[in-house]
Amino acid sequence: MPPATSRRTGLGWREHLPTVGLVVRLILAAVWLYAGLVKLFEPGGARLAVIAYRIFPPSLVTPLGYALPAAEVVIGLFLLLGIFTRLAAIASALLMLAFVAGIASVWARGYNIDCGCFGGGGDTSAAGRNLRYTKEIARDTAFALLSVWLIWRPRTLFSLDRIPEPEDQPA
Amino acid sequence: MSPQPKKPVDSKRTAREKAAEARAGALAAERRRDRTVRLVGAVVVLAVVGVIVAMVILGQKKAPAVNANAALPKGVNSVDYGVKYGTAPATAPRLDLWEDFQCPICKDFETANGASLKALADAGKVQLYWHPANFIEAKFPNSNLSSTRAAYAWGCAIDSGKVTEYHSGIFAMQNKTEGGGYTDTQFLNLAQQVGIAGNDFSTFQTCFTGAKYQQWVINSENEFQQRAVPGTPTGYLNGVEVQSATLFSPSALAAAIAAAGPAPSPSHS
Repeated sequence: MPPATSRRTGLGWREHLPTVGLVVRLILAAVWLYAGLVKLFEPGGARLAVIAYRIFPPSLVTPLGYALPAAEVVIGLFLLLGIFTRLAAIASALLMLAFVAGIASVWARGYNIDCGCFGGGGDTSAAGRNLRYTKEIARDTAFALLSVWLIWRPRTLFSLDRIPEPEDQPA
Repeated sequence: MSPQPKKPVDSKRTAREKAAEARAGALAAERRRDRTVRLVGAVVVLAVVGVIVAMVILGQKKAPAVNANAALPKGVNSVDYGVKYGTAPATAPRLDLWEDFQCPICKDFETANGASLKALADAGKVQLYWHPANFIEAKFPNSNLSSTRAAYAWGCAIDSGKVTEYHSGIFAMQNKTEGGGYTDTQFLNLAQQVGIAGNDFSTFQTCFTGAKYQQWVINSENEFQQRAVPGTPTGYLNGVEVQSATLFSPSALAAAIAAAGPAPSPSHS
């Protein structure tokens, strides 16, 4: 058996991965829980925000107005508890990328909207539009990257899951 | 590498196998535990979110119901409840405008475009349809339903033929603070300012104080919701949403109208 000390140094930075993972997981959990709950308790949920993007037909905006924040809260709770971490992280990354695409799309089509990211939504003034959209896209991209971290390293400290999910096992 | 102790090969393998078995057993136990934790966790999370969503949906204030028999101001149709203005034939392009009288950007829109749109409609170049919405008053509970009251006061003025005068008059007296609302006195005074006098004024007064056209406004707001109009002001030229850069520029809007073909039939946004 090799001496314990050399084994410890051999691990190095890898030892801290679960701690980093915990921080990432809790940041994303807080983002999703906050974003989802704020929207859920607004009249019609995120309906107004969904409408403003002019992507979905009128028949879909009401169901999406509730389904979207509900999904956000589910992702947030899974991440908070640390169950289905990788699955939740995949959903988190995809949803963030969808938001980035949505904002880029309204930007390209020339609309001035409140992204409704954390509640609100609807049309707004053109003032400061480019800076606003840039910031929102940068922020959501950062959250997507944090999600990618969790997809890559779903094992985190203080999670209810203790062993890697099946797909995390070395082949 | 440390020197290998001399041991019989088979006993070494047995020790290794035992260790492997123990590890496998522990891993299987962990897996079972994790499966239970995940299952219980997922059920709890979904149940909690499901209950929240159900409570939110059930707790929503019901929107006032549409009534197909609503009293309508003169010239308003019962298909989309729009107020038509101007003499344009059915072959002219059709511009549908959705507005809330408490919306500050609608006031900006009226200031920029009111006169030029009136001129175009008067010249028969465009079929102008206004649609009142009232969603803003839900955000300002202290505004005393000012969006609805403004719209039905306008309805009463439409009966007296003061469609554009009263319309722009309401925006002109809009409170500088969004949600500041309007008083009843303001609506009555405005009627006199735009020249509703004598018997017409008595009729206006009865119409307004009796909220004669309230149901019309509710029906129009319902259309606004059903069509998922993204906000106010929103304009549809022959059913296609007008970009805000065009909408707020009188010259660009006039050019867009001039370039638009005849309204699609049935003319509907």
